[in-house]
Amino acid sequence: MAAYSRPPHLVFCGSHAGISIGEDGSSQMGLEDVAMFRAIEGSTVLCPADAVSAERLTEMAADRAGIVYLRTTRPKLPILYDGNDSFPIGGSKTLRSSKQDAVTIIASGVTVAEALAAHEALAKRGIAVRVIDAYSIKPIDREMLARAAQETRAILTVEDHRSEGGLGDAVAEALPTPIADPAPGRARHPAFRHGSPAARPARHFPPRHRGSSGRADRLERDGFGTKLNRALNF
Amino acid sequence: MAERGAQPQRLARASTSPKNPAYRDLAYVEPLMGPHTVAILAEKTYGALIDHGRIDDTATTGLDQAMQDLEELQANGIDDLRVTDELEEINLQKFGGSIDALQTGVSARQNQGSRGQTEQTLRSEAQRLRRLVIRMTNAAGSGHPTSCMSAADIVAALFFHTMRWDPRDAKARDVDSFILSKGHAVPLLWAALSEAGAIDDDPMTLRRIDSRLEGHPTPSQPWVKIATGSLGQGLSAANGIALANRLDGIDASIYCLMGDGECAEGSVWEAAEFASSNSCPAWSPSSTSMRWARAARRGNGTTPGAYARRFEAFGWNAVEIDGHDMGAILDVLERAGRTPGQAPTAIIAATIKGKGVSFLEGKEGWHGKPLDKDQMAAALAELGEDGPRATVEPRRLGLQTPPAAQAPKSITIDYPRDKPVATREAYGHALTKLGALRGDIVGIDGDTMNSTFAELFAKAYPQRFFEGYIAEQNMAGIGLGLAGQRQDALCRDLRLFPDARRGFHPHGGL
Repeated sequence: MAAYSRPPHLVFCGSHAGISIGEDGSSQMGLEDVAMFRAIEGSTVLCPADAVSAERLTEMAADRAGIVYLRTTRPKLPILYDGNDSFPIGGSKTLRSSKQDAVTIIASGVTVAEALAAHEALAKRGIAVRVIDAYSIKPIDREMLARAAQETRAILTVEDHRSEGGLGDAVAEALPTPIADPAPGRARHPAFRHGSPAARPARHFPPRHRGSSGRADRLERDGFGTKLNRALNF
Repeated sequence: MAERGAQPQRLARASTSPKNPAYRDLAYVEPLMGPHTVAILAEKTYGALIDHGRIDDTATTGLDQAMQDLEELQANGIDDLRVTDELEEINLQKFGGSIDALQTGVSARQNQGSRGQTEQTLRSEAQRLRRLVIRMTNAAGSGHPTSCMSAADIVAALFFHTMRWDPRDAKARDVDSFILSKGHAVPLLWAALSEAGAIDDDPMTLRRIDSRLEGHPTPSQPWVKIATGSLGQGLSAANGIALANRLDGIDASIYCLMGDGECAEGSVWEAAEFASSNSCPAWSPSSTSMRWARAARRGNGTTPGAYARRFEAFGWNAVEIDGHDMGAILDVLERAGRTPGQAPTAIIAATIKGKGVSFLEGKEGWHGKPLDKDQMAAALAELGEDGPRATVEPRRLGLQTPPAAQAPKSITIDYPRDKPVATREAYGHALTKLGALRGDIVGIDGDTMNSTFAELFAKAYPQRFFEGYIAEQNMAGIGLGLAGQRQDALCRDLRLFPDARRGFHPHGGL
């Protein structure tokens, strides 16, 4: 009933969210939280990737009207930003980019550091990838997505959540021309290993890559998912 | 003037007992004695004077020294006129509230003389409400008339007698609060507001798509602060309102009308636990009215007595009454919840669903059903013609001026690049920094504060921190109550930061 009560300011901070709680086990990961809070009318969902953005987003949350969900995590994460950097709600941070980017990796929270590690690993193999920190999952940075869809050949999201309603869905919904048929391409993690439906995705690939033998498909053939998994320490 | 018989004016001094225990007990008595002055002494101070005081003409001696002291203060930049002006202003505000309370007490005493008359008027009002909800739900073609009829006596007593509120101002903060936790009885709320002249909306527009009188309460109607009807949540919101009142220094009562059915919800008992365990001296009393109707039918042992024992086990005062006996209702409402610091009161009111109409009273199959035209005619005939309408005497509790809004400043963030930090910890740091910049940040924790680092905030701002323990539905409800209450009159924003733990599932609350 919270949304219908229209609170002027109400910030929920969920901590220890996601798979990075590790040893506590799969039942303790809260892998539905982003979907739950995204579904609330007029809500805001924020997921910081480091301590600097966490602090600034806590401050931004305080000024945001309505219900805000701030997702924080347990492990210590590398500092990515300067104290003076700004994190407007509805924005994103492009952490790695070049004119040669084949793929855009969109991450948030703990997966940002992992995406950066993947960037390094792929760079060694001569594959340039763009890395985006989508700290604002709702509203999501549509301009950034439109640019990524235009400038790179595929968009890959790295999810710390059930595939239903998480970052991947937020990105897919906001892409200029989402497509419906699934294709491989999303990294999976242990929380989805047991009895979970087959990896979906591909709604995340812009139409011109459908069924193509572009870089994204080759990445998949080359076992990109496996390598990314390894990069993510799974 | 004295020659013509006028009495000389005397200087009278009150507040002669020092509030600061470090001061001498006669600090405001001995140095201020003089001819034609009157000092009002508390018993303890008087005892001290008799025991070890020195009586002398001290007010008129040492004036030169006093003048010199004042000049020195002036020279040091302390403007004594400004100081006295400010003190005067503060005290006027303080005493304003006391005088209002005194006036309320006096008018209550006056009313006692005509108690029989009051009961008669309220009974008449309850019947008017019953007639109105039958007509409203008939016009709407849906709704829950029988759920309204059972609570009509209690609502009449609250809105037209007990509650201190102002029908002219939906945004008033310094008034008692009413939460209709059993939101499906909303025709009764709309009817009472209409009868009190608080709303202009035509009651017959109930449930229409373009009406503000929705089928369950939402803030579309400004008198509603919290959307209810998703049952079992009203008491949590009442907790939030109580905390908001405590933070704003408002000594108001909170009335939460619940149904017996919704007490199956676990959140009710989360809220009951929180309410009693937070009844520190500054806690605003909250009263819960419950009605009992269907327990016998359900046959699960939830008699009024069982509810009373449950609330008692959660640290409440529980009182059982006949919810249709106006005398008993007024008695219990007068006793309950007017003394700060006491445990919250659960009024277990045994009521009959559909009360007042023989073919509805306690009958099966009438939940959530309006009467058709013929049934309505029969019901209205049985209830009788409309009697006299009760009136509401607008009452306010008095509000202290809110502190001036602080200019929002930005927090300073500084982490060395080479040292990883958890985002949960950063959240705790940011919250504490925000707490220093803004008085309107309130934290509620779900028993995870050493994991979420909210303990940093808790230590720095204990007044603005509440521990909700592992009762997350209640925590969400408290947040709503707090946020809903403080949005208007004080014109300052509230930022709430309930901490959740992983796997947090406040579906009901959201």
